Amino acid sequence: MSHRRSRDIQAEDPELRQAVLERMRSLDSVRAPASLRSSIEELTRAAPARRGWRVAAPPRLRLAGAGALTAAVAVVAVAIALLGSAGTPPTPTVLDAARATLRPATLPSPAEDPHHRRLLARTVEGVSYPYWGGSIGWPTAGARVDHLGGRTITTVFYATRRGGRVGYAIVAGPPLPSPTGGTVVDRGGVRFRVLATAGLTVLTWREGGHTCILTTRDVPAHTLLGLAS
Amino acid sequence: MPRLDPQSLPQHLDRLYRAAWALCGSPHEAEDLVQETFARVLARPRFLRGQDELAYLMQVLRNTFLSQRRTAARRPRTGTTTLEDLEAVDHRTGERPQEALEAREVLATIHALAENHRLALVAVDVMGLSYREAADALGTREATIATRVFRAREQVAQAVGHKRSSPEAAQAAAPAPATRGRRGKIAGSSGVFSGEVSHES
Repeated sequence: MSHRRSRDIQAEDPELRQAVLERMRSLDSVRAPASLRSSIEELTRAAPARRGWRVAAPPRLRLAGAGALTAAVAVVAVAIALLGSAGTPPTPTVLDAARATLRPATLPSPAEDPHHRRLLARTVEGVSYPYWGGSIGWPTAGARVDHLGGRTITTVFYATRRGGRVGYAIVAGPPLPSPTGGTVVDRGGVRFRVLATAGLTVLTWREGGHTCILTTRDVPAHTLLGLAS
Repeated sequence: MPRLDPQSLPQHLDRLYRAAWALCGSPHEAEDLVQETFARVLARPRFLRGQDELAYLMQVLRNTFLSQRRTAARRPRTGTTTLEDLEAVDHRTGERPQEALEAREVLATIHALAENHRLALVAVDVMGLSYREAADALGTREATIATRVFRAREQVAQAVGHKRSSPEAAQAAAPAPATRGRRGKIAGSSGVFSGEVSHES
């Protein structure tokens, strides 16, 4: 018992505690980036729609009257604060977007498109994701949505037959600036650019006016190219 | 038994992000860790068994961190450079680069601690949990947390160049409670914390 008491006294050494806490005040400046905040808000919004969640009250009722006014004022205030402090976010690069495809899936896999056997039901502004199950043998393995520099990057993951993973990202909005370097291949009138570094392969091209990116550590570039074209 | 309210979780985002950064040592990995933590928590309804939201989130954050680290250790890595290593321009430093730099140093210092000490310090001094809550979240005893926090603080103080003074000087400093209140202490916005700082000068 006395041993524990002495430990508690040690842990609460006021001078030490004060010195450390004073240093830690600088952590106030560390805020979650807007992209993460958007993703979390999306996850939070989607949660009650999932099986098992009980919706507390209809949104219309919850936002009625003074509550709605307060919420509206808060939203406007946050929007003004964000615009005022951050300004227009810089356009992300293809490599920035590719980085998102290396992260874990956080959303369920999209279903197959019932009308098109070779496509998934998920699209980004009219551009569809391919269905690579069936004969190719790469079923979908989740998805994720990232917000970067004001752009939404939606990634669908595929599991390869050998246990690898391929990320297929489509960037909403106008196409991103093309990266430099790598190898350029023209197939069927589409210009593909292959970037490779230390076992990682990135394939990027434009489709329907949007930047598409395929990223993998587990599949050769020519295989990706064959599937993408 | 109280249920976790998903709508109330985003209010803890900044605190959780700091904690994740201190654990991982990288803002990009911290983003992934926080996102994965929220995805796990929000996958189905959760009940708070005697914990509050923040303590529960710390528990899931710790479990997710350990699980991701194990997965990463199993994944074969080739070469020395990947896209993950490319540092994008950080637009989060805002208008106070000096403070942002100091924060990065503090986070790097915490990240360099031994894992048990790091988790204890993050739970208590970054997340703001009491020793009891931290012990519950990290699955250990309160006395163990107290010892680990003390050791961790010693190492952090040493790393940032703090010189211990005499015991009399320590006594003269503000007395610390056995367990601390949560909100605002580390955030530096509470009167209690501000008062302690003024004693130091």
